[in-house]
Amino acid sequence: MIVVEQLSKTYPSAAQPALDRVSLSIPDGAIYGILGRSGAGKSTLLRCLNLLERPDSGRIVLDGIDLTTLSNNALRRQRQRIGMIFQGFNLLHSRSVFDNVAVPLEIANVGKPWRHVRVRELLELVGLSDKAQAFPSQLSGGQKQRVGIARALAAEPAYLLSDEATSALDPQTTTSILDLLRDINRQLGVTIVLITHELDVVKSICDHAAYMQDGRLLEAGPVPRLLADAQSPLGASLRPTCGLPLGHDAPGLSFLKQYGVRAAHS
Amino acid sequence: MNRTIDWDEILQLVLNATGETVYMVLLAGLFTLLIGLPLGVLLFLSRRDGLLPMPRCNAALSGLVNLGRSLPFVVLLIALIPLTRLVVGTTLGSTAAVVPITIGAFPFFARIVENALDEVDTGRIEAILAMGGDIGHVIFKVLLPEALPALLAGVTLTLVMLIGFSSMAGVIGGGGLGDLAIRYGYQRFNNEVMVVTVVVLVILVQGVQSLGDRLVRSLAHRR
Repeated sequence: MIVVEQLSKTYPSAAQPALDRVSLSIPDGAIYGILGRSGAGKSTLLRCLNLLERPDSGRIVLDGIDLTTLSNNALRRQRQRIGMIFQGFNLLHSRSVFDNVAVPLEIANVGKPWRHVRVRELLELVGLSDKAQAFPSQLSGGQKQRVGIARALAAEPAYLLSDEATSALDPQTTTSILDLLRDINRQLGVTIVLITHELDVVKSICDHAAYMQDGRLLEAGPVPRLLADAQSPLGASLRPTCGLPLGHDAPGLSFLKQYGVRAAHS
Repeated sequence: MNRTIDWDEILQLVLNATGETVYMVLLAGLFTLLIGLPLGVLLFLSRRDGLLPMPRCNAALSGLVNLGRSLPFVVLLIALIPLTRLVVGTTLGSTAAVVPITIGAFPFFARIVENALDEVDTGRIEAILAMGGDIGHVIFKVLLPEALPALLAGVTLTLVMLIGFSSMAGVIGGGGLGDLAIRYGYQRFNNEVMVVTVVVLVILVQGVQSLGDRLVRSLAHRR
């Protein structure tokens, strides 16, 4: 379980805080979607979960361990329990697919024979066994993200952070990657925290959702509860019949709504 | 000034001088690599927004590198004579010339390394940090391998520059093709030696450049 308490962060050059007293708790086994527009602070929040970004104040408690108080070495050990995938994939172009997936195992000092077995297993899981010797530049976007996912899962993490992992992919590829994430969550029990600006991502795989705006967490909770709550704008956005965009206070949208026009999400 | 051209003698002279030039370039190249590569990595890491931010250390190193690069090489060559005597014990000969050549070249190479590392996508560095990697992992699994084509291109550039530097070593009696050109071509008006020297230098530079280009291409090919 990840518990975030009163997280705040202001970048030196910015007037507005990127995170403003954000508190959140992510139960084990969840697929937790954090929605928001670009600049809402969701990326900063995600990057705080493994301390790629250090908050100015607040705590991140991972299974009872406060990450912000750890020494460098202890933090590195905790990070091995948190996989991460990225919008830009961030694969190493100097290494083959096989060797890319092996990186976290090398860092964790796993011996070569076991590394071999494990990488084969992971490539099987993501359906890329035939691409083991290919280089990232020879892969499509969807294949690159599969390698990213295999790599993130290599050290058998309990958590997987997804930083807009499908935003650079076409709709069909997005669906297949989301299906893969759902399978991983169900089969391996990995807790997934994802940030996205796409409502459809949350609709299709998340069981928990949160909405961020201007560095603040406006709503958060299990999706069924949000759906049942008639007062919840996030719940309303997630309801399949009413595809209202987030930020429904935008001028003009109430007019459209009045005439029954269903606006596309942005 | 009637004289017969003794091609055997010229060949012998040029062969010896080429050997000395290659010796100076390779030895100075090795030291340039050994000093410049770690220095370039340190320059990159110690930046204010780097992985090991040490702004003061960075400013000091950067100043030193700029100083080394701002002096014309001929001036450096003469100014470093006392240091050369200290390190090698003599100021004459090819081995002695390696000292000023190395000192003239490593700041340049360090800058090339720094720039090559700067081209590596920061997302890849973050990916390694996110999996629990330390600074050593970042250097040896991301920075150096990912920048390898750019680093090799930099080595090529540096080697060509070293050939140029080694030619000036003749000024302090360092031997090599430059020395030959000065003693025979300039001081004795021996045009044959001059022409052969120029041809050999051109072949050396072209050879280094095309070998380097080929290596870079073969690496870039599979990425």
